[in-house]
Amino acid sequence: MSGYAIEVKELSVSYGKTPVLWDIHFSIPSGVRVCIVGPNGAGKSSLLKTLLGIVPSLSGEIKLLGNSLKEVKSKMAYIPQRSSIDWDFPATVLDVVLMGTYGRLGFFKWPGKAEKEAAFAALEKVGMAAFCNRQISELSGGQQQRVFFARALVHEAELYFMDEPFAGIDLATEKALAALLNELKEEGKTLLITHHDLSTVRDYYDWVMFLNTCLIAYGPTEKVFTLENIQRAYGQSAHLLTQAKKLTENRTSGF
Amino acid sequence: MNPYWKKTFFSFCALFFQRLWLLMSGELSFAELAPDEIQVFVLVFLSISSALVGSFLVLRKMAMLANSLSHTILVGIALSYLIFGSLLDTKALLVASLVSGLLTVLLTHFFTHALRLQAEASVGLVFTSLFALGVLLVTLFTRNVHLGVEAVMGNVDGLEFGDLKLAFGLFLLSSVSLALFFKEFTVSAFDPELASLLGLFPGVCNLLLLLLASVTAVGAFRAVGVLLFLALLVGPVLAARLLTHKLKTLVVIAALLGSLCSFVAVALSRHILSAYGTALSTSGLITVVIGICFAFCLLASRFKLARAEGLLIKKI
Amino acid sequence: MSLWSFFTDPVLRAPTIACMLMGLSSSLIGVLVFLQRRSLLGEALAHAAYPGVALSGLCLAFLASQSESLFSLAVLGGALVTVFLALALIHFLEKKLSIKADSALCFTLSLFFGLGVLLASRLQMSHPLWYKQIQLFLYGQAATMTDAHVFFYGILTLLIVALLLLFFRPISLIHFDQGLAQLSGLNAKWLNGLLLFLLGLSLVVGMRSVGLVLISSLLVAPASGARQLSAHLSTFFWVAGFFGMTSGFLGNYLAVEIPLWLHLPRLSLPTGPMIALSATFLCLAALLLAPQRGYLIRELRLLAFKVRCRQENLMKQFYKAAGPLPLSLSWNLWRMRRKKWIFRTEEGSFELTKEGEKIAAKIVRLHRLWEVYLVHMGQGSEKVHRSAEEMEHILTPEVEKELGELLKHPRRDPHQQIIPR
Repeated sequence: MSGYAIEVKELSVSYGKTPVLWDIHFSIPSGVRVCIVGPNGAGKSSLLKTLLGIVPSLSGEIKLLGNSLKEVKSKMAYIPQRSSIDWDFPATVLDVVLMGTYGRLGFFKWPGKAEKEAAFAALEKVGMAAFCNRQISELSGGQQQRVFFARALVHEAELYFMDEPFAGIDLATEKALAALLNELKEEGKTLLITHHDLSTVRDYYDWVMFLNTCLIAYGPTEKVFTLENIQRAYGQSAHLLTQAKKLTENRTSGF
Repeated sequence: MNPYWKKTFFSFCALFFQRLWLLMSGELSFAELAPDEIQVFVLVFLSISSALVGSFLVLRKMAMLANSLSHTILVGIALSYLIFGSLLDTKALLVASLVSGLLTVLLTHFFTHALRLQAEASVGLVFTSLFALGVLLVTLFTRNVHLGVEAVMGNVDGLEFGDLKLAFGLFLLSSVSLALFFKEFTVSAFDPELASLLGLFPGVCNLLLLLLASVTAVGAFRAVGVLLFLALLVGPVLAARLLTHKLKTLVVIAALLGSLCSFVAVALSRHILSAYGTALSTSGLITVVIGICFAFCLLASRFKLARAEGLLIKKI
Repeated sequence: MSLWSFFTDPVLRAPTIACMLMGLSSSLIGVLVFLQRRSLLGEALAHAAYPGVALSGLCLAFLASQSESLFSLAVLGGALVTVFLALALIHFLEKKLSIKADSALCFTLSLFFGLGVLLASRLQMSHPLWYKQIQLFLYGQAATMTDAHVFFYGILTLLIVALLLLFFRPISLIHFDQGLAQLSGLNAKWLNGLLLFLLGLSLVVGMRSVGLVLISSLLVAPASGARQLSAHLSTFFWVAGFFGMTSGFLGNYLAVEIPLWLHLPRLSLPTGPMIALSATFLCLAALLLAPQRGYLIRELRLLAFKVRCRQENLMKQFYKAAGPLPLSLSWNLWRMRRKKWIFRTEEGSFELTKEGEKIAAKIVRLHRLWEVYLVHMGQGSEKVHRSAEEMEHILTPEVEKELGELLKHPRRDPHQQIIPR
């Protein structure tokens, strides 16, 4: 056992003919809050989705908690971007949180008392217990995010993957969620989170990863969150990467 | 002699339930069913199947794909008619629906991804060309142009006992599939990525949904025709959505509304025939009744909203 | 049957010309529908025209009229009315009830069509002739069209073309630059309304020849095909119009000729589906063979690119003077000799020409520059080779220049090899 929560070697990912991630290598120990930063189109969401097995990879090796993806699916929780969800869906807050239990129920079984209690407990933790029968279309941005958090908590996972959880929410929710992240870290869980606001990286995260199609730098925040790395990720050199990617996409499509 | 001859609306309903009771208590056999009753049963079973499948198609934003399917099954039907010679053969219908369903999906995928055409344009191109091909096949090989018209409009009055068995089979298939895989369909519709993570196979769910829709479409074309099958698929679901925000309730209410509209349409059709001597298209009637039902549900939901707001204002 | 007879023969003339007019108007409007990504709206509205047709038939049947021209006019009016009612319903469903676009379209489509079926059925037993007249609009019946139809539809097509010409500039502005359009004081809503009116009009023109059920193919196919062949909006319109007219002609031509080719003179093919299939065929041809974007063309270009990569890799080997080359590459070697990149010495081995040296040096330069760049971006030097193997064939001179400036014209790559100038 290597002791690393997440180990990735030579990972490359493409969406059709567009290269998204090139030769990614990293190892992350357990019990840290890691944030992934980079410009738009850098492949941050894609990295999460590839680690979760939602998006296939072209090449490379992924080890989660020392095992392959299939073996540890039940130990992983995922919070997608809020914008990718249809909030008009006919579901209540409780319905959404219960969905988190479907994985361990398997086929042909319905959520029972134990699952409902777990869901209530998770909703209590995020402060949404009073809303359990509310329709999700009536929730504010911050409330929606809390519901997704509760759904992730119900998983009882070891690894948490979150896509832009802090985007577009009110300050109170942000503080509450940051406190929750800290709690999870204290319990020894590993968190991999994409983040867009560079000003809050130091406060909320132990480790930071600069990603722009290739991995620029990663490690403890104090050491890695430097101006030089920020410039490499977001500066003029990043623009060249975008051009190179576009050229590759065109060539391999026959244009 | 049809026991419903010259019956008006309410006497139709009364007689129907009387005979239903006799049927259930065993005093009436299936062979003695009147054509009107067969129509009601077939349409009710079809409505329920369509509502079940339609709920998830609407939630998955696949309604237009269902429209596409409803056109392309003409090719499947034409082919199976050519190969098997009849249209009541369950094998033939199964083949027709699977072939057309898969063909639609594969071709649309090819146009969007390989040929890089807009998604909406791909759907439009696929179904118009396959429908045109279907009409051509039907004209060339069967010389029976009526098949083309019937496929679009249906022929409710031509329903027989065999259609009843088919409709019941469809009803069983869709209700069992949905009951077994309700969780999986729900999560695949709401959050496909979570479904993938949880091991719930959203891709398979999608395909299963489309195949169920194809089978139901083929089953429905004889009764209501392919285009009006769309009304059964989408109408009751949209109406039910106005009344509830819980998914399970939605599906049940959609099925109930669909069945109710079908029954009312058959009763109305008989009434108009008895009272005015005009034979109107039952399939057209169903659609219009569904539209009126939708309007009622809209009013009901607005009323409910107004009352809730009124109560709120009172509290304040 | 010669091609020309389709324009002169009194029986064939009217249907052919009417279909060509219909093809023209539908394909032009189809361009606008395509740009707005609302191809399925045309489908829904086409079906929504049916109750209008049925209602007109009903009214005229009960007024005991026999006039066919009155019927055509009534149909025009009726269809336009129901099309706009349908538009209003779709708008209401999407905006006020937050119903998703596809469900709203499906619901409206089936509701209106069912209403049409209901209205038409009233006439099925009592006025079978009128019932037939109404049914004609479902699948179209080009063969029974007369010169009067041509005149009528000609006027409508002219109207459509004129309006499009008149408002060409505002239309292109609205589609490509909303901000500028608003600045210029253009009222987008009003223009949108005009376009929807033209859509309704083109549907009505097309109903009689190709039928309601299939008219959306004329909206979708010519525009989709033309898109592959045009870089400007005006070209887009021209090519789409050409495709539309050709489909109209081909439909009629094939409907008449195919039975003759198959020696089945008593077979009658319906013109509507033939037109739809011709339009799809033209569209497919464009999608596959268009010079820039056609699928087959792109696959060929990809193949050529892969061949070039092979050759460039060989050139690199030459440059680094590494190892003997397998004989199975003789075709590539022959190609490179023809391009004068390499030449054969007296002993029978191969060497780079001056030209070849420059090309090989360029590939090696791009490779090593890219390696430096990746290391600069934080990659380990042992991991950059693979990416560079691919990018050396892809990077253009502009990107090369930017790389050089960014990295300050490095002399050596991460493996301490010299970077050629």
